[in-house]
Amino acid sequence: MIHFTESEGYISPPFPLFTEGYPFGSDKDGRDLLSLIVIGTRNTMWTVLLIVLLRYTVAIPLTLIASLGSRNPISWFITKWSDSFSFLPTLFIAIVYLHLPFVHESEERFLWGIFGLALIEIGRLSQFFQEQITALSKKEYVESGIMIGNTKMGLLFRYYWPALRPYLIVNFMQDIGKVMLLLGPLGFLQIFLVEGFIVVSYATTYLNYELINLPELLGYNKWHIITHPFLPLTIGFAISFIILTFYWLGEGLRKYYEERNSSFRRSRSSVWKGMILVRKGEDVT
Amino acid sequence: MRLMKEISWAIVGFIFLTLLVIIFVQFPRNIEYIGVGNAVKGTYVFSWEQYRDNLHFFFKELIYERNLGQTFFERPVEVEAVEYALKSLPLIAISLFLSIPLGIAKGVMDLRHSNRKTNFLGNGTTAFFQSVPDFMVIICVQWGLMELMSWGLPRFSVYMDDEWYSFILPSLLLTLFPAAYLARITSMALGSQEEQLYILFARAKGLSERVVLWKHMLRNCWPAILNHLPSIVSVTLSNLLIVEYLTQYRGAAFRLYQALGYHNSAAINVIYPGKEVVSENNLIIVIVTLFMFLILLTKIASLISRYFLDPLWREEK
Repeated sequence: MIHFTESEGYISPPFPLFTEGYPFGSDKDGRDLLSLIVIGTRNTMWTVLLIVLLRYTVAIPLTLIASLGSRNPISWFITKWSDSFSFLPTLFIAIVYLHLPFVHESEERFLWGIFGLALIEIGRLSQFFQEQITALSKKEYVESGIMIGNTKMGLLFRYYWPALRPYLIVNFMQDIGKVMLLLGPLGFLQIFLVEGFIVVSYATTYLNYELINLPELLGYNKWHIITHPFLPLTIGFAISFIILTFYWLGEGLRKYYEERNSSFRRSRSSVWKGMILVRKGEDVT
Repeated sequence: MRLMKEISWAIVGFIFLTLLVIIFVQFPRNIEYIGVGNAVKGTYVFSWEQYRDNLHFFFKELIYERNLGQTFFERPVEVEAVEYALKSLPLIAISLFLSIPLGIAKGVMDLRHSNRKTNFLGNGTTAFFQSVPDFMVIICVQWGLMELMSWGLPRFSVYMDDEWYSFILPSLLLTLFPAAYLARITSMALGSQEEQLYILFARAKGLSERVVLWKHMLRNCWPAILNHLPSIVSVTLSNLLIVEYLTQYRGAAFRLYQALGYHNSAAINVIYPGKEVVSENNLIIVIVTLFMFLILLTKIASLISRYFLDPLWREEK
């Protein structure tokens, strides 16, 4: 595939940035990079959302069960589980897990991958919510709720839930960023959950647009860093943009809730700052 | 008493995760390839018998023969693992040595800037390193260096591990992210002390802001910072893989990635024609265990130093 430009005549792909009709340039087969990034972002966001949703749908009931009673074996188990998983960085656990033969060679690698990546952080998340619940249970208003005879469900929905909701929403947004922060390097190391490029025969690939995703685009285009640096850099910027968006969305929501609650709280920011410190082992990279 | 209890729980957690890694990595990897059109499709066949044999063989060799088998390059696994680990160790050591003081200093600076217009310099840069993937920063730095070299910077090799100076660039790249992480922890811990009464009292005594910050506030932040020391090592290790991969520095993290069989199977086929690329299970286990051991050591060190620095924690049951 070649392209005609007025200034340089015929050029062959990868087309550089700002070529006519190709605002972000193209990849080595002449596909418009902007379109690839737009489609890739859509598919990647679905994957990330699935992982985070699965994580929360398991972690929240688990937390509720673990918070019943004072000496709960499930709570003990969750704490020890997440403590022992803190011995390895999440990236290492993810690459070893995705390399397991029944994951790597499975027809449903996508489902296995989503399941595993969600599971890695469930212990940590559940432990964090449990700590919030323990902190809330010592508050006077919860004790008064018990005094006037609320049932356990009533306590949960009328006393704990309104206080927990802000933490939940802020963490949900930031977890989306964190999962993206894990998928990005995984893609860069050429470990993919889904593959949109399907090898048909030697050196011939067929691109399935329904499956193409940003980590995979990054993994395949990183080799062009020396000859065409704009290719991996543009895709990398797209990934960074997603992470930054959700990071600041989380920060903004935190500030919003903080200001809304400030009139009720004596030391307004310290509660939130304490919350982040409580979440020990927070993986940032 | 509490110290011994916490240390023993850490050791139990370490052993539990090591066993988990062994159990999972020893899964048999029999893949049957079937031709579909022009492509080859692999399906995984699992047999309990072979799995049992794998585990039995691994533990038997380890306990009776003190033998971990051979790597792809026909060398003993433990020799190769230790050799690569010793190459990575200077990077980790230099990075921690630089990032801990840098991170704390940056955290203090962030707090000082937080109410000024220069906030973007302090908290802004910390937030930037928190939310930009590490590979982006590293490839941008490498690309920038190569551009600078074409503008007249003395030439040196950016992708290498055989020059005497080759450890400098990777260890500097490895410093950035742990330092940013520590800066965030420090500035948050300091922020939570800001409204305490003893700080008000110290200021009322007329102590300078510098003394209040470094002597009074930071003293109370050590527990929180020490508590995060294992996480900082963890951040460093996950960065190590990307840094070693991108700078071609052949260290333990890169060898782990290679052992998993992801890297350059085509190139290996050229150098060793006809030799099947296998994933080197025992090497994976040994390197992962070495990394976990490093985090265990940091955890114990942080617990011990916390025992001496944090009387409240010491008394707590």
